[in-house]
Formats: sequence, structure tokens, C-alpha cells
Amino acid sequence: MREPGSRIAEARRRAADAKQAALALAAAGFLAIALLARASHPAHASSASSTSTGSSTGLSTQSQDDNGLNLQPGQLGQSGGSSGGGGAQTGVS
Amino acid sequence: MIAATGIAWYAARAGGMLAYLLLTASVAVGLLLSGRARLQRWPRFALEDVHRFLGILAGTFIVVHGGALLLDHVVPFSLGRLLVPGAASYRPVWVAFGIVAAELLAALAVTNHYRRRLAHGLWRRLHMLNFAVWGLALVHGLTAGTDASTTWALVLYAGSAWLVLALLIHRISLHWNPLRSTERSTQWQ
Repeated sequence: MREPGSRIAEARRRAADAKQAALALAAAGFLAIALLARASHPAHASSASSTSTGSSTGLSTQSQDDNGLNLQPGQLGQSGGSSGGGGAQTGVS
Repeated sequence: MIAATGIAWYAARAGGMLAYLLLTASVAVGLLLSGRARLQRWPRFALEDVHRFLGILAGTFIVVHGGALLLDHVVPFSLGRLLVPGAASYRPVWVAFGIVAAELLAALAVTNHYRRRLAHGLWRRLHMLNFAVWGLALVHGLTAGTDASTTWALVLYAGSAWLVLALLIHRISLHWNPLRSTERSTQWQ
């Protein structure tokens, strides 16, 4: 039978361990989510390097669309191909 | 400069998502506490300590989220637009949900600080507003989050919402049947 004092000290230590684990998990989670976010939008990283290949207006639109600036639910963004009438908007609901 | 902007942009997104997940964890532990669940090896004061720490950590990552948005140039945010609901140029209504959630959380943190000076009933009712904070943060993430449509983000949102709703339903069921609550408490020991 353990003394109440030692049980309290043990619970305090357990809480301190849990807080340290939460801190470590948060740091790891932050990196993991940042990497997932980067992997989800590879065009964001590549748009800067492809600046010289297209018109400035088209690239600007592409960058905004990749980052979710102008996209509305059910709308597909198109940048350079707007003149082709490719249907930049859909009626997906 | 481009690299720095990129880092800030990813830090903003990761910080926001992580703040929401930590808020979920804090709410989940809070629901366990309010349900008077007595877990072996986990006395109430220890759970309260972890609950408080998770809330502080969530607040820290909200600051990271906002600070990174200020540094980032992908979505231009000034301090005013970051603090005033509805002033943002990007999806103002949905961003406002996040701003209101963060400011409400800050206000609730102040009430926690002065908890001993407040009547317990008043503090408890104010503390319930943390559910509103969590709900606003969920809506903000789903509607204003860049990653909201990705599979991994949807899994995280769905999982966290399921956890909180399940614990909330469990808690409400205990409220309507306090006898069962006592029985469960003794079972969990």
C-alpha cells in the first residue's frame, strides 16, 4: 500500500510527462502538417521557378489559385488557358 | 525572400491546423473531467494540469498562425485585418469565424486566470463557451483553410469532430442520468 504523498507525487510526475509528450507531439505535428501542406500544393513551390515561361498575368492568377485565394467551392481555376474557353467554372455542388 | 515567404505560408497553415487539434485535445480532456470520470493513476488535479497545458499550447499555436500570416505575403494580412472580424480581404466571413474564436479563447483565458475571484457557477457557464470556440475554429478551418479539401485534413477534421461529439453525447447522457455517472466512476477506478 503506497502512501498518499507518493501517489500524488507520482501523479504529478505523470502529468509532467504527459505535458512533455504533448509538447514533443505538437512540434512533430507542426512539421508533419507543414510537409503535408507542401506536398498537397506542389505547384506553389514550382510556380516561382517557372516565372519566365508564361505571361505575368497568367502566373499571377496561377499563384493565387494554388493558394486558394480566388477559388470558390465548385470552381476550378485556370490561368494561362483562359483564352481557350476551356471552362474554368463547373457546376459541381 | 521567396523562401522566407514560403516558410511563413506553411507555418501559418500548420500552426492553424495544430492549434485546432490541440484545442480538440483540450476540449476532450475537459469533457472527461466534467463527466467525473475517475481514471486509475490519473487524479483530477493531474488531468486538470494537462487540460490547462493543452489550452495554453493551442493558444501558442494560434499566435504562430497569426504571426506567420502577418509575415506571409501570399495572403496579405495587416494587424488590423487580423484582429477585426470581417476586415480580411480573403473570405472575410469565414476568416471572421477564426478571429472571433481566437479572441473568445483569449477572453476565456482571462476568466480562467481570475477563476478564484469569480463565482463558480459564472465561471462554469463562461467555460462552456469553449465549445463555441471549438465549433467556430472547426468551421473556420473547413471554410477558410487552404488544405480543407485535402484527404488528410478532412480525416483530421472528421476524426476530431467525431471525438468531441461522442464525448459530448456521453457527457449529456451522464447529466440526464447522474446515477449512471456514479456507477461508471466506481467502475473506472
